[in-house]
Amino acid sequence: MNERNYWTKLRRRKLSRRTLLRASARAGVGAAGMMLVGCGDDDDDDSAQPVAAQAQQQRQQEQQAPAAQQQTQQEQQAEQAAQQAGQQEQQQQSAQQQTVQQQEQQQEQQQAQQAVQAAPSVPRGGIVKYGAAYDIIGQSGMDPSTSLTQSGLWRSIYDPLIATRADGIVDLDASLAESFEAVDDVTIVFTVRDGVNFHDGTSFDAEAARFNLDRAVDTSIPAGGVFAAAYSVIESKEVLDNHTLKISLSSPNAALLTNLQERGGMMTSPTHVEATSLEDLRIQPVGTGPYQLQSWENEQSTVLVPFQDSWQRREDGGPYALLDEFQYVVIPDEVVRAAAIESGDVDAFIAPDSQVGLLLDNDDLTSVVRKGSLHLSFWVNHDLYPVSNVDFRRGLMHAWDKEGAKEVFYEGRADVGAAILSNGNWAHAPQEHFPTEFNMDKAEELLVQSGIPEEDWEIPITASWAGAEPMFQALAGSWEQLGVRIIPATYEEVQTRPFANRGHAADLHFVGQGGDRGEPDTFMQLALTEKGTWNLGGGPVPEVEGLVQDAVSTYDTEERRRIYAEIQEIQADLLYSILPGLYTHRFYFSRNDIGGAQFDLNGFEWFKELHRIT
Amino acid sequence: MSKFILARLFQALPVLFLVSILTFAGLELVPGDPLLAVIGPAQEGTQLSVEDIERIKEQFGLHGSLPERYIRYVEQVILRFDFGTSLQSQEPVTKVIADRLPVSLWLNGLALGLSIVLGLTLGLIAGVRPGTRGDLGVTFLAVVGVAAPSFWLAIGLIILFSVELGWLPTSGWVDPLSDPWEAAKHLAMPVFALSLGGVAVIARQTRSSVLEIRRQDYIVTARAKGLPGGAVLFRHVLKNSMLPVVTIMGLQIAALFGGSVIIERLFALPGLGRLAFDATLSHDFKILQGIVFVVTLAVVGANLLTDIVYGLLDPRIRYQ
Repeated sequence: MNERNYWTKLRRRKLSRRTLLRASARAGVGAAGMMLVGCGDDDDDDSAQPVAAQAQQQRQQEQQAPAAQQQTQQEQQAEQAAQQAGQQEQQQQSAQQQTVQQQEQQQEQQQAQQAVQAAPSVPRGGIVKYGAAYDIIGQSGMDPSTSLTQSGLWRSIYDPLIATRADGIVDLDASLAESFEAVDDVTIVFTVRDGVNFHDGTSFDAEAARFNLDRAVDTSIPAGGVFAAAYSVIESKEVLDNHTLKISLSSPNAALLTNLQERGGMMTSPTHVEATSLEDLRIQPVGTGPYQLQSWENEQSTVLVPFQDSWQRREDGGPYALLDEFQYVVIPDEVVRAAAIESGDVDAFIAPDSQVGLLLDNDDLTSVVRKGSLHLSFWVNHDLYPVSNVDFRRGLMHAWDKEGAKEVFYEGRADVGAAILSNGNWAHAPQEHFPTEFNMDKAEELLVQSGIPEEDWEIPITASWAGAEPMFQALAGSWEQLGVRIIPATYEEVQTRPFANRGHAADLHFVGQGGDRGEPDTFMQLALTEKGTWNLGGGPVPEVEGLVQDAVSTYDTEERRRIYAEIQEIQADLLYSILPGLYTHRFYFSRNDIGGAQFDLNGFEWFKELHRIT
Repeated sequence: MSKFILARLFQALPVLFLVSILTFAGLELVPGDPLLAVIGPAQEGTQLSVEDIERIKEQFGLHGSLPERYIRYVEQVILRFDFGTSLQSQEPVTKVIADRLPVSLWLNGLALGLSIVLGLTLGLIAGVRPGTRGDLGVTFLAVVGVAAPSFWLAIGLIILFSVELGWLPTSGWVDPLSDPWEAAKHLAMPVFALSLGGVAVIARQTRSSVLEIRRQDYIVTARAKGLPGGAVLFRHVLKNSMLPVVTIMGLQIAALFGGSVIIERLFALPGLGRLAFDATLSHDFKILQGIVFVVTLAVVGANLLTDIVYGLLDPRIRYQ
């Protein structure tokens, strides 16, 4: 096997006396370097920065040109105009020697230069380093049909057939579909953009879109079929011409459009897929996005550079990517990641909860908040005695000091949950009658009112992940004060029992967290339908399941919002499946000279707008 | 001498065999279903059939009873040195380990070297001049070195040298063969944090050995016959003090591999320690079995080397 790795590289080195001497010299220089490091100061450090960093600094200095330079820009333009006039005179003098064609070319070039000068300035250049907790490519690859990992990196490299804004509205300006039309409730015709190229130089067309959608649901690909469930509503795909794709659905499905902005709807080059092994497809993403992959080092870094031929252009007519380079640097430890942004080793990152308070006090950093990114909840099998009793569930909710937990665990940077959809979701409708109030007397009253004898007040429950443990402890403490006995379960049990027992009523409840999923239907289907995995008991949810199907069957966003509000109202009464405690937030920090930080619909940080502020 | 080495090699074989059983049993018997590592992420929104689960089990060698799995394990690992496929990345474990090994070798090698050089030097300084300020300083440093956990020290170093002074990068890996200067900057803190415990232990051991040897009659004789102080120190005191120190150095190999689990994660070094950490969290016991086996080999090899050095330092050991 012709593998390239550290060892084969070493083997290829000739171990001559000269090599040994050179290695000794390097070791000496290295040792001296280590000693010098201890004696260095800021200036020394600057001189030792890698060439790329020096170039970046130089570029920043150029970009941070004095205001006087901008003031004299008009004078320079006047001079340039005079020079151009002079050039035109010269051209006229030499017109006899030049062909008419050459003159036209020169004029075109001049016009292009003038157009560039007249275009609004776009903040281009520089390198941005992002501190990441884990390696997206190394963990599950960036092949849209097999990857299980979400990240903002996807939208830097790939474009979806249909993009959706953070408020849930379709964003055709960022979509590979120029337009779409719902011919009837179950037929959607997409017109795809002309003139879009993949990073490998091949063209995107309707056939490529069909190829990608087929691949997203293909279970014959090892580890494939990730989107088989989400796209199961698609019955057939038909390419009408190079730019038109018709999709027929088995039933009306408004969520499909939002789901098409997920990985399964991201377009990769069919030529690349056919010419590349599955293993290499994981680590060689080829899309149409503003950035393309330059290099990847396992568990270390992913480096992206601008795709010069990107179909999306900026106001200056240049490619969409604003940076010279984007580095996605893996720093697994959260404390070190925070130290890295403070020291300037990285320029942006999502702060772990433990570091947010510290970083908010740092004047060198700017933060962007995505509210309700996760909700920390009590996941309940509402078919399992005694929790099957709604008064019992209401009683438990009133014995949960959410305000206290918010202050203690999140220093106040969270919101108390008042509906099953978090306040980060566009369909969130807070319910006034949701049992958010911490009132032990009321809790006891409801438990007694439930009619369940006190000897049966016991719940098998655990924290589903280490981060939920403090919340679980607080919750269990309150409930035990009421006389409810907690039967502790292990993490392993929570990983297996609720799923293993599906269809037979899971015998376990837990405190855990869930994402809002961007698309309300995804959340509702998982939590409030009989087949939904987050409905731990797998039992029927008769009052709301029909409404969930109604909501997904209408393409009118406002009507969907109304139905989801109705579902949230019913759920607040009957407390099915997921009982939210807190909506927690994500904090995206960047150094003050970085602009363009924002979140996408799913609450992931976007990199495609990042730029250096000049 | 070769007979001595062969005998030691032969003695190492049962140790390896025993370790193979313990590795297998330890990882098979801990709570947690390794199958979750494979199907866990796919659970959401999908239901796997019994046939699917059996197929996945077979694919990753998780099928059959415990003895059956052990026989397969011995056949693969001991006879073919094949650790199977990673449950997470689905790459061959041998390849994954081979990719990460150089980082750990650099880190642990440099940390061991620094421990030995600094530990011996400080131990000698303290042992030769007991009761002086130098001795007190070394003793204080040794106590701090033993008491301070490496992760705490590492965070402290990062805050001081990266955040406050801005001299060193917080984390990351650069291959010393490709860019020695950058590599030195990236490795300075992890190597120091990892080696400090070793420095302390070796310094304390060297100090007490030197103190003891210096009281021996043959040292008094050497001095009485007029040998210069340096010759007495290096030819007689140091050489004879080394036996217990060499034992400590051998034990340091295992300690370094243990310490590197946290250090590699903190400093984002893509070595075996970080791989072991991630594999533990994701229940990737195939990777863990491979790492434990490789580290065991390293420790057994270090003990063998220690035995050989014993023989070189004290010829009486060879003839026992």
